[in-house]
Amino acid sequence: MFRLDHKTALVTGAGSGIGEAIAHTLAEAGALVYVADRDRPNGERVASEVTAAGGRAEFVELDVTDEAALASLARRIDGQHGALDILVNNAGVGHVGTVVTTGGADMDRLYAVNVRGVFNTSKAFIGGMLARKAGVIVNIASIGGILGIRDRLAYVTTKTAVVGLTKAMAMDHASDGIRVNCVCPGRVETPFVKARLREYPDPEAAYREMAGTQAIGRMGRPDEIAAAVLYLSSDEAAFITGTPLLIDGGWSMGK
Amino acid sequence: MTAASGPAALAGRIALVTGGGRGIGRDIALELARAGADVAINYHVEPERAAATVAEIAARGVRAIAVAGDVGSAADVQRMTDDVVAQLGRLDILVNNAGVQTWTPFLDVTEDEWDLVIRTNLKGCFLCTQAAARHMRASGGAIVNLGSGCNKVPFPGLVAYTASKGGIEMLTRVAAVELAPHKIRVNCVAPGAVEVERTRLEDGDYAGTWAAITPLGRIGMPEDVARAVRFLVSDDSAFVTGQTLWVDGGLFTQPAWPKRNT
Repeated sequence: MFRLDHKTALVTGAGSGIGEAIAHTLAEAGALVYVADRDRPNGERVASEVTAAGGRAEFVELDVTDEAALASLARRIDGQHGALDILVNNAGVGHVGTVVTTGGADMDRLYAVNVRGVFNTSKAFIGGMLARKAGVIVNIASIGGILGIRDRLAYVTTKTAVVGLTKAMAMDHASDGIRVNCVCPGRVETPFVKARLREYPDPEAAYREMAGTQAIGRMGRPDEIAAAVLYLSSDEAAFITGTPLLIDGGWSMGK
Repeated sequence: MTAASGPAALAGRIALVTGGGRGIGRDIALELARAGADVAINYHVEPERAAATVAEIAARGVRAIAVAGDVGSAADVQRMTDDVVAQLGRLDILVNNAGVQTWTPFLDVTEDEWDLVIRTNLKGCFLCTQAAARHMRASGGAIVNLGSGCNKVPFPGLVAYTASKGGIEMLTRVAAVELAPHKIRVNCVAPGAVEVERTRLEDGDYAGTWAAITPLGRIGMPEDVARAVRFLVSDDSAFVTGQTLWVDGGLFTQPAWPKRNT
């Protein structure tokens, strides 16, 4: 079940956190995974850890705002494999601020990575998928793409756009055999979040407060997001397109 | 791969599928058995078909039983869930699949028709969820309700069915929040047009008609729905609760009730 043997996948932002978990999960299911990240040391670390675990992975240094680099990478991967089978648009950046405290430059930066990054990467790789009449794109949006979250203006705005990009691409390319879905994680306990928690005077109280918004009463784990990405990437989900799958422990239910 | 996605993802789990003797329910029961679960199927009026499905499930090397009962009757549901626990030892998974659908213009719907549809689809979902959750309280569980495009699209001629599915959408969310402290997850799978035995017998080209307006260009198969149910009852979705997963080939991402576009 959920096998990806003989498939080729690219995961952006795969050098840490949720992207790292996705790279491991897709490789364990049999896919060759391109671990794409701006951060070379961490991207190389993830690729070598996937390989050490018996998977197939290759690090590619990539900034999703660099359209020329994306075009060249797509030429190389399409040249080697015909097309990419699975594209996971995971790279993204966070930001804290309201409309009062968010600077225009911050807004542009979040748009450039979170929205244009997904657009640029999809645009680069969809040509191969169209030629082959097959492909799967999974975007990592956020619960912030569905709900309003206080003090996250730029993040909520850009993640809402990712949900829109997902639906629009799904409708445009369903008849081309390409499925596009997104997952919307709630609060996830990534190494980054764990490090931030340790900065609070009372880290346990901070965890309880952050986990408390989710009915299940805990934060999610990166591998729980990766499991959903694997399902949506596999042929088992062949009839699912245009759908945001919320993995939020019930946050959006109003608790 | 996480252990949960392996072929034995549901090994040792006990599942109850209402209306599991035929149609999509039968495919769900078989899919859960394929993943290693012991499966009880509920039936109301067709013991022979339930027996045939039980035999098919048992052939996969898991335990299978059939339990009779009307999901709209609290007494039947109590007896049925007690039976499953008595015979199979526990209850970990409930799939609320039993349902009826009637097509009648709004102005002609009778009180009896309204009551039948709401009783089976909505009250049945509530009664089974409540009874199962009381058994699951001790060790947690996963519940999946079968929704429909009617969860969010107003279908002309289907008022009772659409109201029942809209109700299931909210029942799913309330149950998810209230049962989360008991480690019971509740989600909904909302299929688009799916080909089953009933639709193959209908007049006209049901599959072709729906394939033409479904963005992915084909009608859904029962397996598409069954696999989504398996995902939502497995530990692969351990952090997912209160959600509706659309298995519709993109049908309901379109802006309007599709028939208006054709």
